Amino acid sequence: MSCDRFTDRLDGLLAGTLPADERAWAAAHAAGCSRCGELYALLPGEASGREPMDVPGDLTDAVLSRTTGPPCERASAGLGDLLDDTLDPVDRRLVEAHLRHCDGCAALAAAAARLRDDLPALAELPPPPELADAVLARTRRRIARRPSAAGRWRDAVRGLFARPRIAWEAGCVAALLFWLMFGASWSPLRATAVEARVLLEQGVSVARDAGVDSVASVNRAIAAASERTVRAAHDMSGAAGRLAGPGYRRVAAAAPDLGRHWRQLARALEDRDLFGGVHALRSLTRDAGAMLAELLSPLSSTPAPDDVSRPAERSRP
Amino acid sequence: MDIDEATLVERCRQGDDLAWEWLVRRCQGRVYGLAYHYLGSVEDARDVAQEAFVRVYRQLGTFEGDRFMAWLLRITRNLCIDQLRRRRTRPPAEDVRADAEDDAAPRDTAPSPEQAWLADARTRLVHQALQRLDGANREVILLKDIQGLKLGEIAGMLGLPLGTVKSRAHRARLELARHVLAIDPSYGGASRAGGER
Repeated sequence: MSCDRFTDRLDGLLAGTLPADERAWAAAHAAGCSRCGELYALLPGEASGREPMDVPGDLTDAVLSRTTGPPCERASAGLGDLLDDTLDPVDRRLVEAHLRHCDGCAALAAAAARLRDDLPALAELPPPPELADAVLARTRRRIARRPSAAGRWRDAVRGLFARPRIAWEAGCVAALLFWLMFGASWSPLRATAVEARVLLEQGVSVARDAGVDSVASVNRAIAAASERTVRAAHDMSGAAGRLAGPGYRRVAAAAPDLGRHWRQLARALEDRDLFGGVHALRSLTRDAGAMLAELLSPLSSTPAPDDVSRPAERSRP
Repeated sequence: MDIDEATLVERCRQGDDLAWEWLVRRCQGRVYGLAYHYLGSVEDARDVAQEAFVRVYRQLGTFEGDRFMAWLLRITRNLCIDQLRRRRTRPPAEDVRADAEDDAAPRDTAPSPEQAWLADARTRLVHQALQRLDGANREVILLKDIQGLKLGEIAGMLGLPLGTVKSRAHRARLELARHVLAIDPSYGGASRAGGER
């Protein structure tokens, strides 16, 4: 019965919550009972009321070196969260306990904590005194025009040109314009490039046959091609002049949605909507082509510049 | 009385010259400081800071949100990266490290603002340690611990996952602490992390 009572009080002895008289009774019972005496001898010094033993200082390190190794790496992994106060409570206690016993990690943690306080001071560097004035000088004149539609349009165009794909897009637009000028069936300049090439070839061959300086022949050929191009442009402007006034409505009727498509293109540019811009540009080009065809219709009575032999013959020396 | 950034930005959009001047003067130190830490050259930092403000001004109409400073620093950082890329094509003699500048500075002239700034012993120590970090770690220290940007903003700026930025930030700070301790072993001796917090 006494042994059962002793066993019941073991937890209290370990926790140190047993009253003094019960602890004295347990000690007396352990002195007289060999089985309970062995149990009592295993209790820590604090629980049994005896003087605690000194643990060797290197015991933990020796055990760790033979098991997991020093946990400094694991502690370092938690230092960041510890400093930011985002570490799990259990991990926090573990890391803090390690820091109390590891001088290297403690120094590292202290330095990192101080850096947290010191680094924000590096955010601002005294700027050169002329910096603000230089910035204001470059921006002040523009500020009043900001809310205007022209300003928004300009900013949208600047934004477009700042994009990395602008070179590719500009190439597409240039190709389209080139085709409109020289490739479309209704363009009076369609045959110009071919004519220029034929003129060049003929000029060079004639010069070679005649033993004349080839550079002079090439210059003459280019001048002839240029003259024909200027003449075609003159014809176009003349036709536009004849169509002015009463003809304006007829031309405008050929492309009633031209203005709407232009506004769509402007909006797409402002919104940086590439697909919308391409769609609007395509519609705009189609309408412009229709209007241009209507504009040039009086020229249809003039000979079509598809016969490239005649101008070449005229330019022959 | 200080004026909040949202009000200033809105005033700038409406064409208020004074609001823009206030904004420039208030933010120039941080913009210039970030550019200087990236480029390590006062001339390049001045040019980039100026260009950053002009670009921000032109794009004020497109700015959305309430983190103007983060946006401004993002533009500054992008300009610094562009400048560093351009610099790679130059002869290496033009690249002068920030700590080397101090040694090369003439001793008999009045100190420039940045020299006066670096005259503070602790600032100089941290600055020297920063120069020893590799580019990725230095960048995250610049953006998070120095400029105080949020992890999400840095992740968006660098095009990295949030978790990667967070772990890199912790690693970078410890790396910086190691470099600081290598220069001055007594650094941080007065404070203790974790246990006192």
